[in-house]
Amino acid sequence: MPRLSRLAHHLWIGAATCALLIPLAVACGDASESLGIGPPSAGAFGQADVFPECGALNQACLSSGLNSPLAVGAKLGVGVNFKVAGNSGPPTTLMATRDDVLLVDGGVVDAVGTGIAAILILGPDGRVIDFIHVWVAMASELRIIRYSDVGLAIGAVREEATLLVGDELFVSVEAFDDSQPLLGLFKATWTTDVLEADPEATSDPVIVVDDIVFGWYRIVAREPGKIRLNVNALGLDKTLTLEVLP
Amino acid sequence: MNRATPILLLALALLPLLTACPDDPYPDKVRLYQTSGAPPSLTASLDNDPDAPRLDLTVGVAMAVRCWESNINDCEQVTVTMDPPDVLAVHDVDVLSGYPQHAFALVGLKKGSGVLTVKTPKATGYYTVFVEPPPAP
Repeated sequence: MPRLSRLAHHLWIGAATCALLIPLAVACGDASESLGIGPPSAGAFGQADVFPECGALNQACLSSGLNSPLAVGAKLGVGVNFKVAGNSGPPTTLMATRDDVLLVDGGVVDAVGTGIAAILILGPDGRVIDFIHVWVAMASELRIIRYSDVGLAIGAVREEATLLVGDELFVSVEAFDDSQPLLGLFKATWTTDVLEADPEATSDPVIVVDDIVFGWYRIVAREPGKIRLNVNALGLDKTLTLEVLP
Repeated sequence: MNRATPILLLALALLPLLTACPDDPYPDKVRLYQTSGAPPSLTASLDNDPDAPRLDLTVGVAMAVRCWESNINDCEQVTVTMDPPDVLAVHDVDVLSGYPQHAFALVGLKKGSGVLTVKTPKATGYYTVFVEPPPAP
């Protein structure tokens, strides 16, 4: 094969390989995202990175890590990556600098009031290894976000929508403050109000089931009819009206 | 007067000048240097004004500082203390890389003022501390 032709052949194989791998790389993204862990933020001394353990899927957590405030009333697991060559992570204690803003219980911070507090990362001897400031804000809005069953965010659920019997939606309830997504997991309480139903139906048109992952819910269309769903969390309400077609 | 007398008088005249000259071109002093910024809209600042060194913090805010002696060396055997201690907390930092040798995390605890003392065997520095309350929610 002439040299020029061989070169062109190799270039073609290289380009084809890249073309195959690029979509895989884009689809996979950061490995941490698939584990429900948000991107890390650097501590002030550069000795540790702090990252949120998102638990249930949460747009703020997965996309921006700790670069969002926590919602008052929410809890957030906090992980620490130590950046010390030759060492595993030491036994660590977290401590908040304002207990009217954050309470710390092991590796979980509880947002109890608006404001800012630093989380100090203490080593085995009680000395500070690093710290990071965390904001806490009051939620002003709840949004119900639909996810695919493999965890890809599809978008906010409309306030009025139509389903077919057998449809099952995976959703999370997420807190926002003036359109800024807020971090943290919190308990949401769902109530239903049946507006129209088949008299012979054995179930409400729609039922809401807590998923085994905290903060994730399944909305299941069971029977034809119309129903109003209300979710209450963090002192806020969000209402959906769903019509189920046969 | 013998021949040695003028030389002796000259030496006596120069003696005070010799004792006045520092043998170290850098006078011993100790300073803290801020290595972290303030959160947005809050205060965390350290001013090494030689006439009025000053530290300002908001309650709940932490400030990372390093200690230097004579502007060129990390501090050795340094102690940092706050008076009164309930206005500002001083946390010793475990410097895992081995450099710099001494760093501290200073945290505003409550509104008030006081004096932060930085002491090494060679020198002592003082900062006037002002801790302001957090902004109202």
